[in-house]
Amino acid sequence: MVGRLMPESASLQAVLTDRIFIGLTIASALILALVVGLLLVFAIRFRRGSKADRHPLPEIVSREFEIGWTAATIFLFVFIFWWAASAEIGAYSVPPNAIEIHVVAKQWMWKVQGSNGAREINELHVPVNAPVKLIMTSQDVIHSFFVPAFRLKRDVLPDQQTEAWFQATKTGTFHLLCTEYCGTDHARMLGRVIVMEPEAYARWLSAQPEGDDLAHQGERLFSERGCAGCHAPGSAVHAPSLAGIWERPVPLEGGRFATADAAYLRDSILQPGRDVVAGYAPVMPSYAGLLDDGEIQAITAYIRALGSEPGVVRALGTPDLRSNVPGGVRERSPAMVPGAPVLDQPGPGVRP
Amino acid sequence: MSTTAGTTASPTGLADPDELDLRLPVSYLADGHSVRSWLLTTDHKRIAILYAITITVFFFIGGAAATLVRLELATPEADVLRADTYNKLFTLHGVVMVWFFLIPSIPNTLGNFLVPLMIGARDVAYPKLNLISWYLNLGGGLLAVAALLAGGVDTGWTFYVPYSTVFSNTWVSLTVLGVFTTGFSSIATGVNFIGTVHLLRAPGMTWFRLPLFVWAMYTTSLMFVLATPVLAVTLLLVFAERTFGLPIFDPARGGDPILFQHLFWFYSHPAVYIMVLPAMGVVSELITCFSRRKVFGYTFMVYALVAIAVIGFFTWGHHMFTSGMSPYAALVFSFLSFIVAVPSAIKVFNWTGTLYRGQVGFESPMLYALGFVGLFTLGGLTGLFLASIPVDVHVQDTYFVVAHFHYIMVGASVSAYFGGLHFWWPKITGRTYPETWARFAAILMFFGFNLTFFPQFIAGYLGMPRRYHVYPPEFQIWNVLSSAGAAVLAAAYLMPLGYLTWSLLFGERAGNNPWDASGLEWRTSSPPPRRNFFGSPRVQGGPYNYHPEGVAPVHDQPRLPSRGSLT
Amino acid sequence: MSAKSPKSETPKSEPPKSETPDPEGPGIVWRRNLPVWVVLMALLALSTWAAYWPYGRIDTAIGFGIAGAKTALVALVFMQLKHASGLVRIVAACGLFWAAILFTLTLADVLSRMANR
Repeated sequence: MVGRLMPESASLQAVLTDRIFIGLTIASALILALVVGLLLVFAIRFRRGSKADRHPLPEIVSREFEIGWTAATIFLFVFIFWWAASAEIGAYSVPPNAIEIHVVAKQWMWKVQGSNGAREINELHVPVNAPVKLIMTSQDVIHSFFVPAFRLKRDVLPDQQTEAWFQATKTGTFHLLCTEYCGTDHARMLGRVIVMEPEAYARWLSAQPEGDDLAHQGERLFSERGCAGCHAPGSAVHAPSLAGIWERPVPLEGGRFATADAAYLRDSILQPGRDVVAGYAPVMPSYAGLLDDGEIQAITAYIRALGSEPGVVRALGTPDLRSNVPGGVRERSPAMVPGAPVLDQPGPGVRP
Repeated sequence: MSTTAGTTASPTGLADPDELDLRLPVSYLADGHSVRSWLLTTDHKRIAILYAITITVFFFIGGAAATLVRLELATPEADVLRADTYNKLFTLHGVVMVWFFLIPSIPNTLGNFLVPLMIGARDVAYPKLNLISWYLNLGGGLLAVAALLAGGVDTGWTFYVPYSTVFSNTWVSLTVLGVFTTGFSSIATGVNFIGTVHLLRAPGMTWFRLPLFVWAMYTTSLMFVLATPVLAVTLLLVFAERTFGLPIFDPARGGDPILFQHLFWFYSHPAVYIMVLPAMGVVSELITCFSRRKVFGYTFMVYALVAIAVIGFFTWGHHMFTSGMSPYAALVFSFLSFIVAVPSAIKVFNWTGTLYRGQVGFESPMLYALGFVGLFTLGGLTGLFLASIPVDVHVQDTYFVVAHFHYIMVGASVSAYFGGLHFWWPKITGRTYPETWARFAAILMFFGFNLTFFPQFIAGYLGMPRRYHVYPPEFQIWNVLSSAGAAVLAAAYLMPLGYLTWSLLFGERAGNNPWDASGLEWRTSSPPPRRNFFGSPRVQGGPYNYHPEGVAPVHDQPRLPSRGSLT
Repeated sequence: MSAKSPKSETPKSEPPKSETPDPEGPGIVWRRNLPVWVVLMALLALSTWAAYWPYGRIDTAIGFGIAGAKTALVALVFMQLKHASGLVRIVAACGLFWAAILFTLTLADVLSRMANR
């Protein structure tokens, strides 16, 4: 059975992508037919020994032809670029009410966690006709989250977060494939995306094992793993309070500022000596190896839930210890946020 | 050393000795028979032969890997190879084919042989450097083979971090050193060609009288010299991180894996133009000779070569659209990728226009050249698909990309290599090959190639990822077609090995100019003497003087002896 | 064979119009280039040691400074740009321009990722 020539089109983006693909296919077929046709016609008509007219071409014709087809090619290609670019720009703005799904990729499986706590391995259940935002990271090497039916692909990087979003338009089960070579079982890192009607999705959700949502899990971890021992108000250890710091500027040693986003929090947990807050001693122990990526995501969600109130003023004392990290401190490369930051409230004028 | 007309008793193997002074220098092939005279030669023609031998060996190593890969992919399950073995094989295929076959193929064999001849020089500018570049290439190749024999490398030819620096348990460092070494071979060749073309042109050979093949070699050499050092340093960084544990790309210590991708593709995108520009140069020579016409729009063709070489340096980000790169940078790269397609389109139109009002013949080099134009056009058009970000997001890292680059690298570049090999075979070896077998092989190659790679476009858009040795069963039909085509293609590649070797031993001796071609290389014997020319060439007109101004083309036939064919 | 000589041997056909000083004997070539190489190795050792200094941002400045010193050494002494004509210097500068393409577009990616908050 020959089967289909194009995958199922099951998302909003798939429609746009397919339109461009078909347009390009038609244009390419025409250009190819033109070139091959001319080659054949000329080769046969002007084959050695044939009686066709062969007077030399006037020079002016050859120059004008050149300029003509060069200009035509440039205009055609710039038009295609403009068409493709305008479809792509839309794909980067995440709708504000998107369901957030956290994905952790590791060799060779996908760990999926909804912000309401539902956890899955190699499967992702989503409702149809609702925007879904994927916040993804990897535990080891670069993977890539690919759902052909949605025309969706985004690489998943270690120690960074990448984001992508989609809105499924058809129910059904669709392939999820890893598409960045990641080692021995790269080809076996398959999963399924299951799109359900809203009622079925709600029923599925309620049938999941009782789990706190991500922020509550994070709150539990915050106290169980000892973070509250220093960072809670009233602690004997002088540590910065974490209430209200989400996405606020944080003053660091040496007069620089960092923004307290997910990347900064992750760095502070795993490499606390790097960007020490001004006025504090670098005494926080590293949690590298003690917290896995899923737990870090939960704690991040908790701190985010604590809000972003301005006005948390820290006392700027004189630094008493210098950072001994070799090479100096610098801003690390942040998560790619394709067009939309991670917001608590919707930004102005974001089109769904 | 007297000869009787028409016999082949003369050691120079000339078919037309009356034309020349009787005290002839021997051909470069007869000029010394010891192994030492070959392995320590500084004759660019012998070095070209040395390269031809090594790249042929590497071609068959890479081809063997591809055969096993396609055998495994004929079924959706893993029934031929284990996962690790499969991963090592596709990596071997990529590394060997790119660095040890394709990049040296036309520049180091045909380029080394022909550039001095075409400009009327006695040798390249730096003959000893030329020999060193062969040894560097060989050394790098031996390191890669050593890595293969020691157990292989499984990172893919792109060595993405952090898999290659931290996670892979295979011989990454050894392979990386091999590629590093071969990179210097490319740089040396580039320096040599630039020096040769600037300094050693015969009197009267101005820049705009150079054959397009020489222009193609020149622009390729510019890319060799500007791009390869970046690869060398990047591979050195990978080696340093893997061997000495230096924190460079490791994200856990503040590095950025995307930085590796930027550095790697800054070289590897111009590398694909390094692989295609020489092929374009060959095709310009073939189409003009077998249409008996000047090339259409010589000046635009030259500027198109330069434009591809320059603009090609600005487009590397299109390999990284889904990598986590910023969307603004992605738009810039997408735009530039569309722009770089324009000069290629100009060249395709000009080749087509060259046939107009010509006297078109269908000898085997011309079949390869016509095949090139068709396959390059299709491959180039699919490049536009990949430059469009929404489509690329869907097909990146799928078989669509595999099909695209094979259309260019194999359909176009390898076809042009075979076309050039056949065209200049009489000049290089002094023998002619059986034309009927050659035509059959060219046609078989064209059909086998399309059967192998066109289904991969479909499989790719359907979503079949690259580097998968097992796959969902709905992709099987396309894989079966592709594997069947690969069998045909393999047969088509083995045929030239057969009849060209036969021709070395039993082929009829060639005259100086069996194709009645223009170009200085045809104004000397086949094969040429050690010092290339019998006198000092002087150039009085432009290239491709197939029909002088204002005179209608004459019915003519290339003087190609068809005796000596196997049929 | 004096294969390692970086200066070209005179080509076998007529002498080129050379814009650099007359071809030198191998002795002079080694005497100029070997000290350059030794100094480059010393600077490499220095920059490796400096990479472990804990002084913050000055380390980066020192790294760039050492790289600049190496570049100047290679360009002025080894490549003899001190004595070269303007055309040769422009061509040498093209290498820097090409490296600038890499830096510019890569930074365009990295910086616009950072700005994209």
